[in-house]
Amino acid sequence: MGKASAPRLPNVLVMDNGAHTIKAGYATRNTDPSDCTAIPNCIARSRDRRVYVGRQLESCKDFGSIVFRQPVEKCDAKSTTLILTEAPNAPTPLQTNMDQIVFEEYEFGAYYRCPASQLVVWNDIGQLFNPGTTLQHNAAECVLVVDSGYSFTHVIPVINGKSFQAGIRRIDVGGKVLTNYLKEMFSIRQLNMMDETYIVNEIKESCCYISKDPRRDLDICKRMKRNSIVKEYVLPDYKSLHKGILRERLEKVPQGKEAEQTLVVGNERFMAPELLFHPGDVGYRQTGLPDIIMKSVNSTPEEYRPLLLANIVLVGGNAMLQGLKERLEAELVPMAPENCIVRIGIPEDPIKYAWQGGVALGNNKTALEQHRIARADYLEHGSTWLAKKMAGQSLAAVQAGASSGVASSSNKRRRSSPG
Amino acid sequence: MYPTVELLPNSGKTGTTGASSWYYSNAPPSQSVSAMPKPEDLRARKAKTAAVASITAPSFATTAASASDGTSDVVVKLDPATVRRINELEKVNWHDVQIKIEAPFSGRKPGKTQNVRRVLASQKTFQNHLSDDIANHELQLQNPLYKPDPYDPATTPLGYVRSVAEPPSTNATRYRRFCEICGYWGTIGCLRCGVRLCSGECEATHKEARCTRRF
Repeated sequence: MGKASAPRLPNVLVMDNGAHTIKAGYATRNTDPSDCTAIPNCIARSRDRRVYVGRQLESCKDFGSIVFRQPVEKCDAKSTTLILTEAPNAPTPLQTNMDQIVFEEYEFGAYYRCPASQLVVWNDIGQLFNPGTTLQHNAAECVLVVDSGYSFTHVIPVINGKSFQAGIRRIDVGGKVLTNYLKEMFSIRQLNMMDETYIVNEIKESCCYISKDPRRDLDICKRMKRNSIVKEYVLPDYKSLHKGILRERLEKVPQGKEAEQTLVVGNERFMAPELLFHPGDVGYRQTGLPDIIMKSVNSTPEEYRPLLLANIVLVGGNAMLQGLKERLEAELVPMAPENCIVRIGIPEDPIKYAWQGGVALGNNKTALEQHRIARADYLEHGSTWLAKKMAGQSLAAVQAGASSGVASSSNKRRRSSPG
Repeated sequence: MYPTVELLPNSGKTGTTGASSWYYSNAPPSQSVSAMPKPEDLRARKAKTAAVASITAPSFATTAASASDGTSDVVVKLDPATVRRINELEKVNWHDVQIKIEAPFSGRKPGKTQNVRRVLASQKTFQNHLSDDIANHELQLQNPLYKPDPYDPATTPLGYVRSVAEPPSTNATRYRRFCEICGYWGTIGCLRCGVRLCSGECEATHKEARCTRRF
């Protein structure tokens, strides 16, 4: 796939294009996570009508184009390879648009586009499970990536560095729904928080966890006046307090000085993230995370199933929820076949993990050469060719190395199918 | 919220492409979908409605499983209240806001080539693209000429609609319900409006502040 004619391009820019934040940075030999810039993927307007600033985020989801410009214009695009991520099952016209913008507007030297899960596997997965093992330099063979992001939760089996298409499963619950659900609960029960998306998101990040036994915790919250679960969140007023504080409930409400506004967070702490396991609680007719993991695993060939179950990696913002790993393990073990081991790993920084994988890929010169597509080739063959080429790469799933033959046969198939 | 995608009856000869609010067809106008259906092909119409229903609501595609094996007669419908609630949960802002972008970040006007200018000038929203994609995928699967050969699960994409999680198999109609006031199990219902509540205490709070329907 890598043409010998492709010029040597010194820089590799890795961008993990998420709905909430874009993770971007250059790949160099000694890149560490702090080199990654997380850019909120939104245009926001504050209370005083200033666009793009302000903490009262009334954010609007734009399809990339605005924040996309910022990191790109800083670099000399012509000497840069861009590694960019996309959503699984993204609409084809949007992919084509993206390709065109990348090559024609920004004029990147070379380009590789893939779902974030395919970048995850370039990380050293072995390190997650057995710290201290030797560093690997190739993509992990079999990884089940559970990517729980802002809009969706995806389960994607990645076999030999390629997504296994029939195994991709999705629940429509992501960080956004969790925040909104929390917002709804607070607004009905205590204060109207409907317009305070940003604050509620901070509450979610600071105190939500996944309960091992929600029934028991629910009972604890109901029956006992004082318990370990109920906490108090002091809301910021943006005069004296700029960030909310989580604390134990006070015995006495302080009087006299200007009373601070507080929210009592009780069973909301674990009932909101519970949506990942029971999307039905708000009316989604979808099964929970353990079920789709098993569905996804069972759709792969039998020889891969034990491997996938033993290499589950949780990434995305929701992977930071405490207790997710334990709960998932507890629910998956009874569902898995008897002789299978269930191993779940959460990287230190699940949000930037896909980006780190992209960096690993960017540093791996031979692999990058295979994957990327040079601008000269694009200009010669056009965007339809590029789209097929990108799809063809994911077609080369099981036979690594025989990629070009598989790609051309897939092109034939696509051509024979009108519509 | 989601635009309706109408599937045309698709034979091998009349190639059609459809999208959210339009379609191309080389069938004569009398046979177009907008022409009134004849009373005798009620069966065809019924089948068509089932097909339409299965692809209209992408985010709660309830028939993903049933449609894939060709039996799309079991269409689980979500009640409007649930649909409304899910739509609200998926909103970014509670109120609809329009944020205008004042000026581009750089002085240069974007759009070096024709393709880029076309992309930038496109009025299509993400929803349009999504429903296009869904419709195209369905059409492709229904096309008799489309036979992936051999079917390879590793490489044939499932598509947006079919990759969604299936509804729970056990006791699919009943979900856990919680008290509106405190979040505990909602074992009783308000006699006036049907909202789930846990105890008399919460019921009193609810009746005082939140009960909307009065007989």
